[in-house]
Amino acid sequence: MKLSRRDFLKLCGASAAMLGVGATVAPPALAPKNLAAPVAPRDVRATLIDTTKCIGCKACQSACKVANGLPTNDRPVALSATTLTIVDLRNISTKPNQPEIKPVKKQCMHCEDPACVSVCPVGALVKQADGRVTYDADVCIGCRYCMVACPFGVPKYDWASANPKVNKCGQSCLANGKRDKPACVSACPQQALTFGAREELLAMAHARIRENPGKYINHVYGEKEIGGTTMLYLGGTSFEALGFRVDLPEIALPKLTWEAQTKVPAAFFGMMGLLSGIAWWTHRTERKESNEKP
Amino acid sequence: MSPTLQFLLTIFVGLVVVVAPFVLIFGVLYPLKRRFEPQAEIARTRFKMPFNAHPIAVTAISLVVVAAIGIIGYALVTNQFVDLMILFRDVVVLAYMFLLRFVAPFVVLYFAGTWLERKLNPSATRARRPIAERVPMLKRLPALTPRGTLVALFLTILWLSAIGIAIARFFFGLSYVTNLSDEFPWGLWIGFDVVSGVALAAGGFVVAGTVHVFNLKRYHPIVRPAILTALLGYLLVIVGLLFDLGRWYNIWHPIFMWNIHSPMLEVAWCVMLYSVVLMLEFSPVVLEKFKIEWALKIMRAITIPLVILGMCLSTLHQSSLGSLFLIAPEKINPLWYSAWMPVFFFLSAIGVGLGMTILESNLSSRALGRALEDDLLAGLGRAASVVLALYLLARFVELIARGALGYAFQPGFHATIFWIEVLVGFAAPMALMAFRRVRAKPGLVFLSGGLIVFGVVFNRLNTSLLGWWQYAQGGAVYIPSLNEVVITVTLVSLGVVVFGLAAKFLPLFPEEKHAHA
Repeated sequence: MKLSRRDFLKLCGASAAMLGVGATVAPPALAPKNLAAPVAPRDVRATLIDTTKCIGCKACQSACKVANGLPTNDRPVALSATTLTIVDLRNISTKPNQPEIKPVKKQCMHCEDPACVSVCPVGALVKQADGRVTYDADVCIGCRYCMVACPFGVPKYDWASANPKVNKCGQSCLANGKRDKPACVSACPQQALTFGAREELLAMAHARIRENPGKYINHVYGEKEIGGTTMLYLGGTSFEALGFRVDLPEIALPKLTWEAQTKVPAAFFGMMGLLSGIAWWTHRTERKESNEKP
Repeated sequence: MSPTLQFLLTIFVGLVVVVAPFVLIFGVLYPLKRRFEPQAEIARTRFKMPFNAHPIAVTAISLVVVAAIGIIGYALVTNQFVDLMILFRDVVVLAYMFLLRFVAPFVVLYFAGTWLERKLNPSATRARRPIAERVPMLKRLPALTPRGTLVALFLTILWLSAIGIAIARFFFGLSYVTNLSDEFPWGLWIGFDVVSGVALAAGGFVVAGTVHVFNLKRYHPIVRPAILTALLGYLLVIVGLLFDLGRWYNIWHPIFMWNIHSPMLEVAWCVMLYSVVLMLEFSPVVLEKFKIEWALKIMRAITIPLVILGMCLSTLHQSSLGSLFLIAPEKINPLWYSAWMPVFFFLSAIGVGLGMTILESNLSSRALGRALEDDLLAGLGRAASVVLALYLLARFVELIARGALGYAFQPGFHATIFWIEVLVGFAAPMALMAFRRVRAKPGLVFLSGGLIVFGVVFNRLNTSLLGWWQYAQGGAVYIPSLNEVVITVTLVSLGVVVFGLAAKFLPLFPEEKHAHA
């Protein structure tokens, strides 16, 4: 026992070195590859939603349900496990007793730097190179951290299932190349939805604002919110009235946790060094005694 | 070939390959040998079967176990576990229906018939023997005091309801037993069982570090119970996680699938690694009981590095629970949301580690009739006072620097619970334990320990549940259902019962043993 106390620092050093090697080598090799894949901005496919053109026909909502094989006979009023896109009927009137209904399509915002992707411990949620945020149920462990993290409250859960999934738009209707644009975009009779490269759509949105003075408010929702989204909105009234959170920071939320996570190795090895030093110091008399013994 | 057919076929082939040798040896060869070879009887006594069971029974049991492991493992890796579970559920439901509709009427008829016969023909009534004679096993149970009977009754009702809730939760889904919703995806099971549970297990690393790293040997008598409390805490956190995870059968995924950006991955790894470290730290107690000297020697040799590793892992784990909430600045009340949450969680974990050790020592000394280590607990209280003072200073400096202190003075729900948390849970025990005279009174030390535990648990609940009440649209709130509370209380009661059993059968309080021996 005494002998070991003399040697425990060596053991500490060896284990720290091993852990250090492991920490520097393992994570880059094992981290999900799609997490931070560099993509040229023009390749990111986005959707511009012009809420002033929307007439509230809910064709997008039905088309989404058909494309995803979801029940069409419920009458959703909000996003749910069986409704991945919703036409939200907002009352934007400021006068009482004179309601003025403005329909607004809502769905997953497919953020540029999604909080849900950054928090998923097993990488079940992935930001694809073309901008989509997809979900793989077979990988998911069901911790629901994505739902906690999403600032838009988009992911919805199968609460009544023994094998629950997280449900959100993953633009899976685009998968295996059957379509060239999402089902909701194709379904819109008013061309309120435009599908294309994010940069071009942003330019188009600003051009519309410029060319139609008074029709739009001068803000493209999703351009800067939490680091930008690939669902971009134009609105004729304040976005708060349209049911969007306008208090969101411009910083991408994953940066907040990443700032803490990058300090983890330093905390671990700093703590290890500090504690080893303390233990070495506090056991000095015992070490001396055991050294004096033959 | 359909997937189901493929699945069944694979199971069948797997069964044949894995199980056939067992069947051959135990089911065919062994009985045959016994039948035709008189000497086999001698062989049977020499190579005793486990529990003296009949070989056929052993064969059947091993068959079932091997088959179950094979089927569950196969289903897990091929993501078909749920189909299996649903199948099992349907079989159980079918069996239940069968019992209810076909067996139950006969049972009812039988008892009604006997009752009627007794009424009509009283002379035929046999004298009733006492229940202890009819069920001999009952004689082996210890005699219960009235209080013990009440506790046993409470535990029976609690655990039976917990089994029912577990069946509903695992076979049907979370919504059958919880009040969780899309607005509040995390509830009591995360807020208390996991986030608070880990904090309450902090006593293990705090006390172990005090003794083995800071070399304050006089605290040695309280190390073992503190480590056991931590170990039980971690094991119960895992059970709580199994209840809460939607796809609990995928709980092993974080071992292989990494997203290093997620604090949850750090949490998962810390739970796994630190439970192993805690088991190793606790192992000398078990090894001493069974007198396995060589292993004890190894364990003593690596004690200090192990304790240091445990403290490093705890540092990460306690702080990572704070990092979990960094992602939601727009949802959590600014009185709790802060970029420094990881640091605050770590600091308050040290405080509650000390508080929990005080509480646990007091409770176990009362329940087990042990002498209380008054001076040691007073020392812990003094340390807790310093830690809590540091914590409060850091927290208020941060609140002022962020300009969020004003929220504490806006009358309302959140300001109220903030002041309850800070004044009752942190400031009061800090002030109490700052005075030597107060620390000299064991009752007040006990009270302070309890207050710290309350304060930190309340802080965790406020960060993970109550601080979220403002954000949901339409003023939705989350209040845990009775089922969630029952599961949480069950987990706590399991911890208490196992602690009591360990205190009875293992050398948990070494100095006590020496006094008796």
